[in-house]
Amino acid sequence: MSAENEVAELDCVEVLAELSAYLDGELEPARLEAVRLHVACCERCASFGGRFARAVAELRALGPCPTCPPDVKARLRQRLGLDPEPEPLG
Amino acid sequence: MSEVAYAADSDDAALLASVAAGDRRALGALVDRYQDSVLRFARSLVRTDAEAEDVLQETFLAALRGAAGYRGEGSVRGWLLTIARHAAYRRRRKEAAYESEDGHDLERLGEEAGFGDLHPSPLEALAQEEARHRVRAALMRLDPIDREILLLRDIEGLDGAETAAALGLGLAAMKSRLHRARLRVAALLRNEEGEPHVG
Repeated sequence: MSAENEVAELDCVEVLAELSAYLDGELEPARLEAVRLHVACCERCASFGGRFARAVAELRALGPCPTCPPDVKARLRQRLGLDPEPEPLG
Repeated sequence: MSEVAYAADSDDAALLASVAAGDRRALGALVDRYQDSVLRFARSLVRTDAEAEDVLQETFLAALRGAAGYRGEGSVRGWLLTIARHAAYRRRRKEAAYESEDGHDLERLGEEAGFGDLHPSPLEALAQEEARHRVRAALMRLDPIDREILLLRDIEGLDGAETAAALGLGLAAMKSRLHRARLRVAALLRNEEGEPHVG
């Protein structure tokens, strides 16, 4: 694959390397602007960048689940010498 | 004060200080607050539910013993997940395997994930639950070194510094490993979609 599509003084491989930093909001303003300009003018980086961003968004959307099963919680509390959790009402 | 009220009114550092002082209700509140996160993370690092539960217990036992040693560097959650990681790797006996980047070429990783490919992803067409199932399956197919950083940074939501601290990495090394892990999971997702490769 040729990475020599230089737009805004960045080539595609440089943009590839910056994608996580871009998504995490960690780029310096000048670099951020250069990446944005490159993506706006480079169809393949725009296409790949979109898919990469969606993959990361889907990871983040998995979120904090599943939760600890009740029997695991009970054994943990017992091991730590804690009182059992009260039964939920209703 | 009940454990529920304790959890609602105390920040993590204060809670841990109370644990260090021998407050059992504070320990219960800490457990309630983070057992889900610790168990999820532990399960991603070991082979069975039973091992994950052992890591969960070892983590909170270690936290109980070591609460007085917490210096407030990074979040309590990050501290607990670091303890869990060490406990899991002691079980796996592979600590030495997680020292340095594997040196894979960034361009090759990008190509495998679809870099340079103009075909639109069919991902948009999947139902949300199907997409979540696929992402979870892809996560579990990753090497543990990739899975753990994605779990910490993208799923548990630790910030960059917390993630680096939990993994014993410098910030730059963490960012490099994170980006490569994201590219690898993107490649797995792309392969499952059956997207054509661009030569």
